[in-house]
Amino acid sequence: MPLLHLRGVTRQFATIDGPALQILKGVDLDVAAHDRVSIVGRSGSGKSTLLNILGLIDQPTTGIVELDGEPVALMGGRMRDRLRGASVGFVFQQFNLIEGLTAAENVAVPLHYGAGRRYWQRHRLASEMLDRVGLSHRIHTKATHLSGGEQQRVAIARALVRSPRLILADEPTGALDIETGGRIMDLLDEVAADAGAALVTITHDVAVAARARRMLRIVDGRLEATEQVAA
Amino acid sequence: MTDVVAAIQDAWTELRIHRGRVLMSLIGVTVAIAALTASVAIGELARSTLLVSFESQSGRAATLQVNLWQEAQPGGDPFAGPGTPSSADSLAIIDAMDAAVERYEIAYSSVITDAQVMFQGVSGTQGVGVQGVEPDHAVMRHLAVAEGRFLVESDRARLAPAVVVNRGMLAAIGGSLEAARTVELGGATAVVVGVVDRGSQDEWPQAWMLPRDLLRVPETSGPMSYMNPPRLEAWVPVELADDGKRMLNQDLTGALPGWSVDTQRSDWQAWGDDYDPLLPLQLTLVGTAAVILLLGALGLITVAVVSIRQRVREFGIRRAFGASRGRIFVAVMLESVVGTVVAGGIGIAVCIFAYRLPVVQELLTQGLSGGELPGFPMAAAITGLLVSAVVGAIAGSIPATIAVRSKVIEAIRF
Repeated sequence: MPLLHLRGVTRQFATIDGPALQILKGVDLDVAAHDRVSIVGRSGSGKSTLLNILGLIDQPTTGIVELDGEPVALMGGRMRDRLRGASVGFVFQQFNLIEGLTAAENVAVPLHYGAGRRYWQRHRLASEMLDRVGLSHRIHTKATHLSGGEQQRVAIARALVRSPRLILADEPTGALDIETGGRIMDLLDEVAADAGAALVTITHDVAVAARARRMLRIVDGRLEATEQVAA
Repeated sequence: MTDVVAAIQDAWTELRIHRGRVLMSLIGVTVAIAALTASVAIGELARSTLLVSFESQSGRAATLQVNLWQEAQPGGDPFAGPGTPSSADSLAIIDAMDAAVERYEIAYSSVITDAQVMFQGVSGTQGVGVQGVEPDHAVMRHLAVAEGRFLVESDRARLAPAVVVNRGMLAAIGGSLEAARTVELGGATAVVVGVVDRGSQDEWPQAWMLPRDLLRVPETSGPMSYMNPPRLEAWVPVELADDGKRMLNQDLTGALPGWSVDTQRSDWQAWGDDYDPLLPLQLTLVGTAAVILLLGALGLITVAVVSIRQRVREFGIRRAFGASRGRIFVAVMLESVVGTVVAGGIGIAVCIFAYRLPVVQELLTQGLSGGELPGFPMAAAITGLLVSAVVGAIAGSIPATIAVRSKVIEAIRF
């Protein structure tokens, strides 16, 4: 059974003075545990919309989304929130760290919404994760005082701190220079492999996409397999 | 449990991060809560002061007052006053009253006699109103003893009568208890055992001694003493007041032939169930505080609504990592509640500090019996704290509603 299973997923958005905007037009996708998938596409092709559906942030207009064989549509909002917190880790293009919090406090944010035991161990878990991404010397540094590469490392540590089974990375190198972006992707691949999590990367950078085991292209609201590469 | 602790932790972290904004927005709340607490405290103080004042004038609830007057003799003047009774008559009345008090096991009571006598002061002879009372009288009428003590049971055994004087009389006989251990009072030598302080009421001399001792003062049997028949005051439970009135009336009517007996409640609470002399004052104070509080809360809501729009992305991030809408709502509201409770606590502390300042104490104790201010009313502090929590919850619910309405996707891209 795949970790994530999508069949015939569509997503349309109402517009004020025209017909509804059809962004996804029947997406089929299976993501297995430990899988490495990249999705490329032009701006406005629906990459982020698909990522939001994969991350249980958004719901499809029609179609089936199952996580571990459980249909997401049948879950209540609170249940979806819990499942998202426990199973999915996000890495965003703009890092999206919370200003004013230190690196360790940012990494600990997901632990506030998890099981009690992990909440009480949040300082230790956050420190360990920061150590793992090479930022043990920046634990108490405010997020705003970190470089772009460091902020993305903190974001990766935050995505992994609850040991998710699925990591969704939305343009993870989009705000970084080529060299830093390469190092971040190395790190992301490495920590995802160590954690045994599936990694879905959405990007418009073909070089980044090529690092994945499977590369898919989103064209006209549908997913197409482009090539199969060795991980 | 973890969820609650984590929510409070989130709220505290946010307050810490945005302390500048929080501080500015909560200044109004601090001032408002301080004003509210001060209003409630002044209301409570005024209430307790007025209550003591009323009770010292009319007795505690329920005080039964038994008055006597001589029945008109056949052929006599039916409109003649009670006149000065003989010492023998007065002693017989006191005996009958004592017997009634003992029979009905009344815990607090006092026979009261009044007389006007002369005393020898440092600047010559002058008159003083002397009241014959029992030791319970001090409790029943809130008489605050500033020096020495009030009358006690063992004073009945004294050969020279014990007398308690007020500040006015103390000044007239020497100015201090050490300087004036005895006083020539109505032709008898009395031992001064204590000084009563009733504030501004004590400009003119007044004294208290046991009723039987007062009857033994030679001048009280003279025509110039204006002595009325003894009366009885009994402090009884409110629920027994009606029965007590009836029984004392019956008992003393039977025991004192030739005397008419009238027993009535004298305490102010018998004036009417819905009589509250402090209501207008308290409504004015609380109304003023409520307006200040409303303005403070409006300021808080305005700042909170503006700042919450700058935090939309943060809520999106938190939602992406598993925070439910309910959790975001509670966290934002708790920020407001924690903030206003802290602000309220500071406001209350400012109030208590101000209450203890000597200049404020002096201002508030004017006219207070004994001149001592009671402790800061706890009811005012608790009210202030509860109101600050409620204001925080109401003010926090508006930005909290805005926070949960934002969609995760839009919030992250905000």
